[in-house]
Amino acid sequence: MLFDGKPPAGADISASDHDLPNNASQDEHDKVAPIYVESANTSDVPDLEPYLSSIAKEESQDISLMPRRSLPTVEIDEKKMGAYGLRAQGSDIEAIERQFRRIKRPIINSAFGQHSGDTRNSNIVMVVSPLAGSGKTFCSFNLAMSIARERDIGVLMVDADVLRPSLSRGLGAEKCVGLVDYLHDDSIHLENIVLSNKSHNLLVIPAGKPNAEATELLASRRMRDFVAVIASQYSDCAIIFDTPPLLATNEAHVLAQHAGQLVFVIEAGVTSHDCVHQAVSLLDDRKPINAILNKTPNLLYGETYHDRYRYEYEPPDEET
Amino acid sequence: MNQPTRAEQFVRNLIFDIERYARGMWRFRWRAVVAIWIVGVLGLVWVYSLPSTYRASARVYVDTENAIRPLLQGIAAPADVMSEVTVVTREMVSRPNLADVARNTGLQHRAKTQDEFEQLLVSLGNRIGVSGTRENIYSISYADIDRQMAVSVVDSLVTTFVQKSLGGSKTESNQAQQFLREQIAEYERRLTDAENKLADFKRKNVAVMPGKGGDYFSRLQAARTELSATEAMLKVANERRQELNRQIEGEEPTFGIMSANSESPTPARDSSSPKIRELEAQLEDLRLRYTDKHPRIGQLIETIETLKKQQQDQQNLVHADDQNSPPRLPAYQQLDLNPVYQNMRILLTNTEVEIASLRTQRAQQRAAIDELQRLVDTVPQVEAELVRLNRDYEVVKANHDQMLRQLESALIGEDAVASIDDIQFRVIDPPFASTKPVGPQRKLLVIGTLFVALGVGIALMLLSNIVDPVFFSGRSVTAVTGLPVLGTVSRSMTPEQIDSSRKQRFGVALALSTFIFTVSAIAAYADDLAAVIRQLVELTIL
Repeated sequence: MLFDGKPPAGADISASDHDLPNNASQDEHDKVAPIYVESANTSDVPDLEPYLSSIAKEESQDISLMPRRSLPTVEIDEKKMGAYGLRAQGSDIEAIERQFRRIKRPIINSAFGQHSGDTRNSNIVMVVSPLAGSGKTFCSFNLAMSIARERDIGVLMVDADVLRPSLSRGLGAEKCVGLVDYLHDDSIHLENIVLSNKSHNLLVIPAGKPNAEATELLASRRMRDFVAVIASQYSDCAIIFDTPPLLATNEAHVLAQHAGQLVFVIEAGVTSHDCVHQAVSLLDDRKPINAILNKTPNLLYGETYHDRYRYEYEPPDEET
Repeated sequence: MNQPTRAEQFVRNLIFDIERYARGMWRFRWRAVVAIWIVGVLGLVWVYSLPSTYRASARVYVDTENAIRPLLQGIAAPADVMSEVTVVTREMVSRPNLADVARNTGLQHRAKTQDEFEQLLVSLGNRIGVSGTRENIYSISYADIDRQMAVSVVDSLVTTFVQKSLGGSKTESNQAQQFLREQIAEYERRLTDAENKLADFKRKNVAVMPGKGGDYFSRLQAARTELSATEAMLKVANERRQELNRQIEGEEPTFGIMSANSESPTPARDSSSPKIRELEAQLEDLRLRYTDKHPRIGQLIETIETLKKQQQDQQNLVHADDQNSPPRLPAYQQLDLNPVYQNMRILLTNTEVEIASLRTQRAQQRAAIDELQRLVDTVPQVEAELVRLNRDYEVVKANHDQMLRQLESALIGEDAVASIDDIQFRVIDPPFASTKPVGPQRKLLVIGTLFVALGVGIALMLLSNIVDPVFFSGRSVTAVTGLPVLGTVSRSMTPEQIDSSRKQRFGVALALSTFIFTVSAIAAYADDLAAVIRQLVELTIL
């Protein structure tokens, strides 16, 4: 089990935090594979949103459990996601889920597979695109959700699209402390900015408060160190970054240098060949770059043959 | 499932490519719509700005037998109607004719420079239509933007045609006659020249002109024969004289008188003395040529008889004298009293006269022969020259006569033509142009504008797509960028987006269909609309 609650280095850990639950609760935890990061000083965390769930409450019901600090959580409201354009609509959901199921496989292989050791930070997956509105956030979120269903892999999503943090907004975490704050203020620690979603096996680092220098911060050394830290600390997670558009900002490609692999999102029917070439030229071509063609319309003879072959779980009919 | 065949694959790929292109082009739909509308409006404005052309036409009846035939002489066989039409047409659109028409109708004012005038004539020629509908009926038409002008032009053409077809033959025959007259005058001059030359020549060479004696050589021969005859006679006369002299001077005592005392005793005479023999020979000679009735022959016969008698008498005397007479004076001394001797002396004189005349004659004849011989070179030449002059004269005369005949026949012919003038030409339909224009074909042009506008729109979309292409398949992504494609994610539209897209499509369809409908309506009522527009324009401007 990858996530067995090892405390991160450098974090203050109170004694009570060592009291891990007993086997029974361990099993429980194992089932849901929760992730706990000890937070040393909750009072340091400003502006906690009332999206705190009641996991602590639940735990307190179990007498055998020692009370322990838990991460602030975040909820994933499907409807809200949909409204923010981060989730598919209606009947498309199934198709899109299928597509992402297909897409994630090579990413996972690169991140954790046989040759993943060849690449530095192989689990750092940055989702990039030349222009805004290509569906970067959509892809990164859905990719994250798809990977999160893997039994053996966790997901950490980082919203680095600091100027338009639609991911954070979709999760309702736009006012939470996030990446920008962390980069800006040395006193903020990693554990302060991570949010969790147990039900989907997901960790989230929101973008944080908007800042005039936000994009410059992305190019800073602290960012580089941050990436290195999370890469090692969450080495069993797929860390998915939502980034600013490559051609819109000057710093985006600097950020991309820290990636282990890049996922290039192209909007079908909109992103021109030229844009793609330009954006790709900004990237380091030694890194593995793979493309996703997003927002493809239903073509007559498109590459959706595989859609005809559905091989899925179908719940059995109710027998009365 | 079977693998698709190559044909199926090809078709699928094709459809796929077309679809991708269509979707790519769809991005530029609005700019295409704008372009279509702009081009359409401009095109329509242009179509309606074209001036209407009107056609004027007239029909004429032409008796080609008499009107066209003279024009055709030497050009085509008579019974060819098509060539007659061609001739008429060619006549009509010949440059001088067109220039006349342009001047008569005032069409020339449309051109300001010489070059423009030339072009005007050329276009005029191109727009004039001449057709032969039925036998001898021709239709002349012309189209112009100015209706009045069209009518004027056709009118002018008809008039010119009339003049040309009738007057044409006349002037032509006049010209021919003029020509003939000139030629005749020329030939008359030549004829006179030839006659003069001939006369001069004859005068100059009168001597050697062939006379009654035949040509040169027979004349020479005759002269020579005469000469030899003359010489023969001369010779005979000379001998006679010699003989006579001898007898007279006593060299031959033919009388017998000098027989006794003479130094030259002569023996007794024979019965016929040589003299008599000579005379008899002469007589025979003369008898060859003349009859006995000839005075000379008569004379000779007398002479011979006299001599014979005398001889006889002398012989008798001699015999007698020899016997009994004393020596006397030689006989010859008594000769003066001898009648024979006197006769002899007469004869001698005659002979000498004869000789003289013969000599003269001979001299003359020799001279004549010399003359003839001298003219050996020139006489044949002269005769040849004469022949030539005669021939020339004959030729000139013959030509002259022929032309006179031609002139006469032309004059006769002209009279014949003039007499049937009035039934040669008739105007069946006078020049008229309908107020309804014949051109331009606005309906077609409007429909054409429609297609052109749509074409421009489509071209614009196509070009824009080519210039600014996008991706519709993972294959193209890899092909263009070289990036491997993890997969494609379908577009998932919110209801609002779906709605908006639908509205967009509807909007484009509406814009296009409005355009097509408007243009079609305009096409349908193209000409009426043109008239209305024209009136409106005139009202507003004037």
